Amino acid sequence: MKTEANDLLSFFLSSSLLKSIPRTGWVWEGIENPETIAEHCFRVTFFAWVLGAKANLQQSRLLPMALTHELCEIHAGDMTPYFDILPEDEEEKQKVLQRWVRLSQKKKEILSRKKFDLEKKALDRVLDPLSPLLQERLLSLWMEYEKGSSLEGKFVKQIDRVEALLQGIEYLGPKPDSILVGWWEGTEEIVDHPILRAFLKTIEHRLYENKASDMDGELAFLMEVGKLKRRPRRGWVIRDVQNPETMANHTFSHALMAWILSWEAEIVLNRDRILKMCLLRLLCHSRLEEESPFDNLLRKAKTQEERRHILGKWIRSSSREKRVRNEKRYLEEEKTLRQIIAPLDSLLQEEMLSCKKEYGENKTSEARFTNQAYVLEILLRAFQYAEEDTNFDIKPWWEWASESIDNSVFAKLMNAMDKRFAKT
Amino acid sequence: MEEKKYYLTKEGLDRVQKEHNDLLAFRKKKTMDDAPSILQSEDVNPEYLVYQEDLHLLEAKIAEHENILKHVELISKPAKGKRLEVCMGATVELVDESDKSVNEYTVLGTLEANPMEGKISSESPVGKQLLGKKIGEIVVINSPIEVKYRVQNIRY
Repeated sequence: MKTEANDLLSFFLSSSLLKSIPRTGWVWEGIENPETIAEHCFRVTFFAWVLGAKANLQQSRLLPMALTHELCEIHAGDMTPYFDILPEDEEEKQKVLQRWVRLSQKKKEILSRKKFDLEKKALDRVLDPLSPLLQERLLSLWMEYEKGSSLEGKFVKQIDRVEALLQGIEYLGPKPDSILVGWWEGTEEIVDHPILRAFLKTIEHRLYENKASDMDGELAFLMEVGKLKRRPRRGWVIRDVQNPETMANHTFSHALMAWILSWEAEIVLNRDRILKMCLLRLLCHSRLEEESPFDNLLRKAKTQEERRHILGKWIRSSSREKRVRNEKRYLEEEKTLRQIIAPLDSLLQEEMLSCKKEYGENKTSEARFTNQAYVLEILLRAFQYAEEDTNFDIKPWWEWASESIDNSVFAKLMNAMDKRFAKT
Repeated sequence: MEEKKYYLTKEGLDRVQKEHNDLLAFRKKKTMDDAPSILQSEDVNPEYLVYQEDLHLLEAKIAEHENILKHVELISKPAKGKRLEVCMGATVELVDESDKSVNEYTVLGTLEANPMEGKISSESPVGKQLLGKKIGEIVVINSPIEVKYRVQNIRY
C-alpha cells in the first residue's frame, strides 16, 4: 500500500524542521549559528559511507540509518547525553558539562529507558503519515541503531558520537581544557570498532599534535564535507532570502526525499546508489563557488527592475546554450570533485566519480529519480520561502519543475504542494 | 490497460540494447563465479545477504530493460504533413508572450530527457502541453502563476 501524496508532503514538511533546530550542545556553548540536526545527520551519513566502506558493512542499511537516526528529534527535540541530569543553576550546569556523564549504572539504565520511550513516541508521531511499509522500514532502522542490535546499528551509534566530537573540535579548537574533555571521555566510552578507534587516533595525532596518521585521508575528506554546513545555496542568496538554507541542509532533505520516495516508485531502484548520488551532488561546492543558472544574466542587469525581471522566471535559452552551459558546469564540478576525493582510497574515488557521471548523464532510472527529487525538494523549499515572504516569487521554480518532472510519484507530490500552498 | 510505450531515438535504443546485453553477461558471471557459499544459514552470512540483494537488483534491472525493449517506439522524423506540429523528437522555439524572451526545448521520451540540456520529457507538464501544437499556437503552462508561450518554430 502506497502513501498518499498529501501524507508524503506532511512528512517532508515535518522532517524539514530538522533544518532549523540547532544542536543543543553548541547552543549551550554559545556557538554562533551552530549546525542544525539535519546538518549533523548529513555528515554522519558521509561518515557511514566512507568509514563504513573500510569496515565492510552493509551500506544499504548503514546509509539510510545514518540519514534518519535523528528523525525522532522533530518532536522530541535534540536530547543530549546530559538529558535530565543538568542542574537549573547555570554555574553548576557548566561544571557538569565540563565532564562526561557520571552516574550509577542503575541511574544510567533508568535515564536510557526514559529517553528511549520519549524518542520512540516522538518517532511514531513523525512516521504516522507514512504507509505501514515505510513506517516499518524506518522504525526497524531506528531500533537497530538505538539498540545496537546489528553491526551497522552499533557503527552508526558510534559515528554519531565521533562526528559530534569532530564538530566540537572544529568549533572550539583542540583545546585541552574545554567542554571537549567531556566529549572525548564520552566518545572513548562508546567507540569500540577498530576502524573508528583508528580514526579517533588520527583526530588526536593530526588535530592536536599535527602528526601524520593512518586515516589522514579520511579525516581531511570528512572535514571538507563539513564545510557544506556553512555554505548557503546561491539560488536563495541572489533572491535575498533571510537565512538562506545551507548546502548540507539541502542535501539532507534531498537524500531523505529521494530515499523515501524510492519506496513509492513503480520500479525497483538501487536505493544505495540514489543516496550516494544525492550526497555527492553539491560536494564540489566545498571548494568551487556555486553558480546559479541566473548569474550570467544578472551580471548584465543594470537596474533592480531588470534583476526582478530576470529572477521572475526560469532560464530561457536555446537548446545549444543549455547544453554548453551544462557541459561546462559538469567539467568544472568533476575536476573539483576529483581534487576533494583524492585523499580517499581508489575504490571509493572510483565509486564517487561514477556516481557523479551517472547523475550528470541522467541516463539510468536512479539518475532520473535523483535529479527529479532534487528539483522537487527545491520546489518545496521555494514554497516554504514564499509562505514566509509574500515578495518571494514561486514562478521560476514551478516552471523548472514543470519541465523536469515526469515521474508520476513526483508529479502527484508537486500537485499536493500546489494545493497545500495555494493562496486563497 | 494500455501498456506504457518507451520513446527512444536510434541512439537511445542502441544504448539500451547494449546495456541489456551487458547486464545479461554480468548475470551469467555473477551466478557462476561470484556466488558465495550458502552452507551457512542466511541469518549468519552477511555476504550471502548482500549477494542475494545484488542479484535481486540485477534481475530487476534486466526485467526493466526487457520491458523497455518490448514496448519501444522509435522516434523518427515525422511524415511531411506532420512536421508543422510538435511530435516526439521536435525542437521547439517558444516565445514568452509577456516579454518576448525565447526558450527552446527538444521533446523526447522519459529515458532520454535531460532538462538541463533542454531535452524535456514528453511526460512532463511542459512536454505534455507541447505535443500536437503548431506554429503560432499558444502553450499554457498551468501553475500557481500561468506561463504563456507562443510556438515560434518547430524543427526536426
